[in-house]
Amino acid sequence: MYAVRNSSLCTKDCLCLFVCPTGATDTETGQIDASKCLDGCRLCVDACPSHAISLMVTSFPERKEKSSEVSSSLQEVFHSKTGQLAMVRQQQSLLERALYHSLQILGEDCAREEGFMIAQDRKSIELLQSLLECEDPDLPKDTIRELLDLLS
Amino acid sequence: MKEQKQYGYDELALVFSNLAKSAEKQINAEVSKKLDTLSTFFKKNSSKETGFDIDELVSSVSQDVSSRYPEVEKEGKISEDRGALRCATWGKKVSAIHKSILTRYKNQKEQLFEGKEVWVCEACGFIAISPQVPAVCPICKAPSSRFTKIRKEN
Ligand code: SF4
Ligand code: SF4
Repeated sequence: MYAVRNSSLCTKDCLCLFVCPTGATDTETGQIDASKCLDGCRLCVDACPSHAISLMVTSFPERKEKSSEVSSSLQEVFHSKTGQLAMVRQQQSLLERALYHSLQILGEDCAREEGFMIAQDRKSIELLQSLLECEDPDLPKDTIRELLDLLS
Repeated sequence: MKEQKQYGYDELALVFSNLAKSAEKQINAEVSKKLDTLSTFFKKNSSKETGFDIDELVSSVSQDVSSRYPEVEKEGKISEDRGALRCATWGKKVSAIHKSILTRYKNQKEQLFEGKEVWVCEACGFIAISPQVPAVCPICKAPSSRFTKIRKEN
């Protein structure tokens, strides 16, 4: 595990600089140097008054598979929500814009429950790999390959 | 592979915007940005072209509230799937709000928004139509800082 800082919460109190035994928190990038961070030490996590630092795991636990009934009922909602999104996609009025924004959140929630919770998960990786076989010539396959590299 | 058949571009757009959000929470800007690129691609190239039809929208949302989400709830209970249950509980409530807003809009049109602002809760999708941002989300209890104001002009 290594420490990461959420810069939008950091209030620059710098307690993390004082407690870190390796200087991993002392960088110019706003981020913690993961290569210097001691696995699971968490001194800075507990010291930060703004709860801006958390520990990130390097390998994620296996996701629990959904029952096929739950999965297909979720898919029904997922398809329904994307259909509704298509209706307000042009976002021509305040109402359509609000619905678009909200439906996006509901749709993403379905995607998450469908098993696309994190990019490191096997299911996400398999989806990316399968997209490499997709025939759409405009699909940015370089981006997909770079992602697969970063996630492996 | 099977996923590709299962999910069209509209679904893929949401799969990748959701993964991008999660990478952002892992403070992995590089991965998040690339996932966003994919999401944007699928969004832009989606083939579904249906215009805004309020009656059709109301009918689809109503079915979510009356049958599709309840089906997830039913199956979620049987499988003790807490994730699916949470998704269905919030989703059903937010969809009921959509239905009510659409129904009121049919009568009041733009007057519905007079003197009001429109806010969306980033955590659950709840839409508030009120002069001020809600102190907490009535559905998921997220604080006011989680609300995004929807802009009035395009
Ligand atoms: S202790 Fe927390 S608030 Fe202070 S600089 Fe470190 S991360 Fe930021
Ligand atoms: S977890 Fe420990 S080693 Fe890592 S940055 Fe924080 S204080 Fe430094």
